[in-house]
Amino acid sequence: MAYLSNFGIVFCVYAMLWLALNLAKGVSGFVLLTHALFYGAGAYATVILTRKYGFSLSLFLPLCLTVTIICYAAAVWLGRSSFGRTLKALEEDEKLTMFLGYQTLQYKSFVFAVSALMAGIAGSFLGLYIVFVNHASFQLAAGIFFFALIVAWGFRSAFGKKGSKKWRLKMF
Amino acid sequence: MALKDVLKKYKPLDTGLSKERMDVFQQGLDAISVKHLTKAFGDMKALDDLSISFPKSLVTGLIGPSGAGKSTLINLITGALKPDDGLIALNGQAYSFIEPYRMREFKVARTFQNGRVIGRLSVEDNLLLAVAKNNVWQGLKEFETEPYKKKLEGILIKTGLKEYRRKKAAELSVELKKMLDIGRALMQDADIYIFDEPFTGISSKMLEDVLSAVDILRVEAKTVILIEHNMSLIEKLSDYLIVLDHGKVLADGAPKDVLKNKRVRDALKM
Repeated sequence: MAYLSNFGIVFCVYAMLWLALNLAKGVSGFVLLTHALFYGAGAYATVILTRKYGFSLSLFLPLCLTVTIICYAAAVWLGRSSFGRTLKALEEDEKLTMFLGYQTLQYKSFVFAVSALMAGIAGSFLGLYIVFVNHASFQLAAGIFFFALIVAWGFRSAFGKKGSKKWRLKMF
Repeated sequence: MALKDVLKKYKPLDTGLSKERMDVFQQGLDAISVKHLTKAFGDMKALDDLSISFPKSLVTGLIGPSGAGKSTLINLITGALKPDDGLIALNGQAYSFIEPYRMREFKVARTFQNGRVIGRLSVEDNLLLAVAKNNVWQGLKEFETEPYKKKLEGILIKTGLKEYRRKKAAELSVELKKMLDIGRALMQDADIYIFDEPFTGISSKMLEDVLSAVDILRVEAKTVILIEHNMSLIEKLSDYLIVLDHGKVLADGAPKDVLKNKRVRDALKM
C-alpha cells in the first residue's frame, strides 16, 4: 500500500509537470526550461507553511489526484476554446495570427502564466510529500529533466518531424 | 476550360446601377492613402517617396513588373513591415505604423500570394480563426461556433471547400490552400479586402468562384485591392488602376487609359 501511494503521488506530481510543459510546448510551441524555478518555489512555500501549521498525510493521495484531474481539465478547457485555436495557430504562424486580429503577446503571456502555476502546484505537492527540500533539486538540470518528460511522454509532434528552424528556445 | 474561355464568359456586374457605390465614389473618399512612403531593404529602395490613394468602394488594380514594390506596399499598409518614412491613412486617420493585429479593428482583410493557412487546424477552424473572439478572456469562454455558422456555410460553398471542411489544412492541395486563404478573408466582415494575386495557380472552376466573390464585394460597395499579373483580367475587373515601377507610381486612372499609356506598356512589356 505504501508503495502504491508513493507511486501515485510521484506519478501525479510528474503528470502535472507534464501537463504544464505540454501546454507550453505542445499547444503554443515554447520550450520552457524555467519550470524548475516555479516547481521549487511551490515546494519551498508549502514546506515552510507546513512547518508552521502542520499537515495530515492521510488525505494526501486523494487530494493530489483531484488536483491533477483539475489541472488536466484546465488544459482540456484551454485547448477546446477559441483561445486554444488561437494558440495552435500562433504556434504555427504567429505573423498570420496577428493579421487576423490577435495580440499574440497576450496569449503567450497567459499560457506561460498558467503553465508556471501548474508547475508550482506540482512542486508544492512534492514539497508536502518529501518534507525536506533544498535548492539542489531545482536547478537548470531539473528544468532540462522536466523537458525530457514531454519528450518521453510525448507532445503534439515528435522531435524529428519538425524542422530545427521551428525550435524556439524561450526563456522569459 | 482554359483561362481564356473563363474570361470570355465573364462579364463584371454592371455596378453603375448601384446607387450606394456611386454616392461614395462621387464624394471622392479614399479608403487607404499613403504619403511619401519610403522603404529600403539595404541599398535597394523598394518604395521611393510613394504617394497614392485607393478610392473607397472601388475595385482597384495594382500592377507592375515583379520587384516594383506591390507586395511591399501591401505589407506596409497592413503592418507587416515598418516604413522608413511616410504616413499611411486608413479611413482618413493617419499613422506612421499600424500594428498588424489592429487590422481587424480597421476592418482590413488580406490574402497572401502562396495561400497562407494554419496546417494543423481543420479547414473550418482556419475560417473560424478569422472571426472568433480576439481577446484572451472572451476567447476562453467561447466554445460555440453557432453565431458564425451561417457565414461559415456560405463561405464553404462559395469556395468549394465544403467536402474538405473537417480535413487538416496541411493535407489540402496548393490550389485549395489558396482558396482557403481567400475564404478566410471573405469570412471577415471587412471594409477593405486586399487580394494578392488571387487568380494565379488555381483551376478555372475556382477562378469563377473568386470572380463571383469579387463581384459580390463590388455590389456590397466594399473597397477591393487586387494585385494581379494578368492584364486582360485586371482590365475587366478593376474600376481604377495603379501601375507601380521601381517603387514609384508610373500611372494611375481608369484602366483603359492607363493601359494605353506608352510608358506603362514599355514597363509591362506589353
